[in-house]
Amino acid sequence: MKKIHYILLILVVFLSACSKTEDDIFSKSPAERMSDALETDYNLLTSAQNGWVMEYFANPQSPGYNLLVKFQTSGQAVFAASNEYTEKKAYETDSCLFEMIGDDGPVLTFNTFNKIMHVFSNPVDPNGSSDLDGYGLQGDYEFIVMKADAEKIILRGKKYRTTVIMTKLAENVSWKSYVDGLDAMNSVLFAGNAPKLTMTIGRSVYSFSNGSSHVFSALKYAANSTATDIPFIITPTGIRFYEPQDFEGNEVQYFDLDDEKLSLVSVENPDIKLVGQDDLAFYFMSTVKTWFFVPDELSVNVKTLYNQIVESCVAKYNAENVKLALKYYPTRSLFELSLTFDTGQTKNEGNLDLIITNSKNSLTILDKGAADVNGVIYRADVAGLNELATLLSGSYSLTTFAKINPQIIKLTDKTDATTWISIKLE
Amino acid sequence: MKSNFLKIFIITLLTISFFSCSKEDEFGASIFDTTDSLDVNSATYEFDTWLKESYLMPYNLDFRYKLQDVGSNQDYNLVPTSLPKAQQMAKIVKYLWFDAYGTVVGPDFLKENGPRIIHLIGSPAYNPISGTILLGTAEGGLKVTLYRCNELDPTNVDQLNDYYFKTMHHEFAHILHQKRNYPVEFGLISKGNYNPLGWQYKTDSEAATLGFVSPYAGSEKHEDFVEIIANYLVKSDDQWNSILEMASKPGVDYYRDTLSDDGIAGEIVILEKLAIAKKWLKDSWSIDIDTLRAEIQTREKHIGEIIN
Repeated sequence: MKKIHYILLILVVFLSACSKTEDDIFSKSPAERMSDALETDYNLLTSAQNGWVMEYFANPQSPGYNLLVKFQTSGQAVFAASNEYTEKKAYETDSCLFEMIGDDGPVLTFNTFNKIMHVFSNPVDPNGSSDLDGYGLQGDYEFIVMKADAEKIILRGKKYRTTVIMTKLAENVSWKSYVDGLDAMNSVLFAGNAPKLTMTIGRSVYSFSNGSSHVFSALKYAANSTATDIPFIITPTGIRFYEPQDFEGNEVQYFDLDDEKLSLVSVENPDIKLVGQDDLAFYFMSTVKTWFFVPDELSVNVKTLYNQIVESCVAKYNAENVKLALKYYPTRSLFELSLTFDTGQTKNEGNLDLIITNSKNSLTILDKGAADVNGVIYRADVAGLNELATLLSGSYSLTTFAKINPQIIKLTDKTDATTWISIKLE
Repeated sequence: MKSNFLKIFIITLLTISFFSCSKEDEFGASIFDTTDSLDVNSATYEFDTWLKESYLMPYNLDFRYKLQDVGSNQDYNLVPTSLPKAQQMAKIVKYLWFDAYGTVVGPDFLKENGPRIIHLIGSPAYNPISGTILLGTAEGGLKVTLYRCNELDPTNVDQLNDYYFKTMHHEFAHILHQKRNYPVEFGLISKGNYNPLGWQYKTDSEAATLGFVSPYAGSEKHEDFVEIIANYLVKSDDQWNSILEMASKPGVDYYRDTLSDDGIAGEIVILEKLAIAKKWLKDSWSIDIDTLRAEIQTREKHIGEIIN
């Protein structure tokens, strides 16, 4: 009897359950909700009067590119950018059509071609590598709208699943000046032979190299350590990693350049920095490279001797491409004042030996009086060269525009500020 | 050597034919919504109106110049066509294909037999592994997809033919033979010489000596049949004769080495195939291919006048 009661009770529960209908979770059908989402996103896209900054990463391994885009109610999207793929690597604009379509969720598609944006998804490799034919830069031109408000829209590439962030551009900013600002920031940080940056957390030290490719190779100084690629994008104030990175338990993504132009400081944790060359003298001494005199950035007395040397080389040797430089000569284990010039197809070089010592941001130069074979000849024959070597003997303070990436270092005589030279890597 | 690998080929998806072979379809109401009013505020209102009046209304054809990813092959990395190139392509396709057929065969021919969708793709579709690229596809007689449209150069007739119009005539010939089959004897001419997997490794010369107007024609009999028609339509007398001349000489490989005699009179084989194709077009479709060819080639001289 007891068993039959249980069976009846279960039947009653199930039957009553079946008799009730499911409550609708949403007040509208899926089609209506999709239609609403498309309209909302379209209105947000077109609401930005001065357009959006699109931080575009073709894929999670690629460098980031800043594209400006304005969505017009006519269905046209106008793009602008300045990068290695734009005409003459300069500021360029182009337009295409866009639509919000219901596909893999609400999808923003740029469905006619424009050269600013579709270069990243074109299967024709813009770098001309036939090995990559059919792949190109492996970027998207269709994006699922993941999150959107009036100030920020987060997209995800439909094919390569890359996150692309669009931030509303202020109305009073001209597109050209915004792009120029990014170019200027990039130039400060990574122009020329940008040196490695260093991150120190406690006893752990990391080096960040290849910054000019916009994909850092980050390596911890430790046994068996392997490098990690970290793609990033230039921002008006510094850089942003494609995605947050963990260093010794600290998650960081955004970095701003400090006022001193020495470091990129983590926005998330200001104790974490990517530091440039705090000691320019040490940087000079540690780079086995040639630092050329910058002819337009010399004090009057140095410039006079410089011109005299050039004119003398032209007169005596019919020389072209005359250059002076400071460099370390590994085979002689000496620093040199180096004179180079071309005569026809022949490259000529003579080196006057210097003794250079360093302390923080300070160099002391001494003309040793010796030289290599050519140096001996040039010291005797080239007007102004011996005088320059003599003039250079002294102590110098080293300064630069941005220690995070010292491209030109100015050496100012500590006892006579009217004597100074500027040197740069080539 | 790149040409060794970048052999251009055309794949026709011979899925179940959209059309019945046993009964003529009536040309009825459009399958597309022709009443849908266009947005006057759209950046493309003028062009869309032209497309509606030039393709949708008269030919029941949706000319899709905006890339529809879902409507393309997802295996490929593709990009859309630029709007200016799409506009040029739309005008040239109408002038060289639809209007040419209209003049020679009659205005209703393409209404009844033409594709219902033309889809433009800006880039080629690469097959990196085989080193080939796709120029066009025809799906079930319903949809023709043209690739590489961003490279359109209206001043270069040979490029227009190589990239697009040979493809269009090729694909359209597929549509026609899917509706009314060509004689069985055609497939017997080169039986045993087709090579579905290795055709791309043959030179033009090698293919011609075997009796094929292109390497791709040597892939299988349907492709052979439509390649004969497409090449004959778009090639000038000089170009066509050079194929015949090539076919009459010993073949050369990619290293310009002369190949041993294959024992096939390539020129005679090609002409035999052309004769069958001509008769089939005349008998089955009332198309005089020589008149159509003359019309197309006359129009090719006036492309510059219609794109501005």
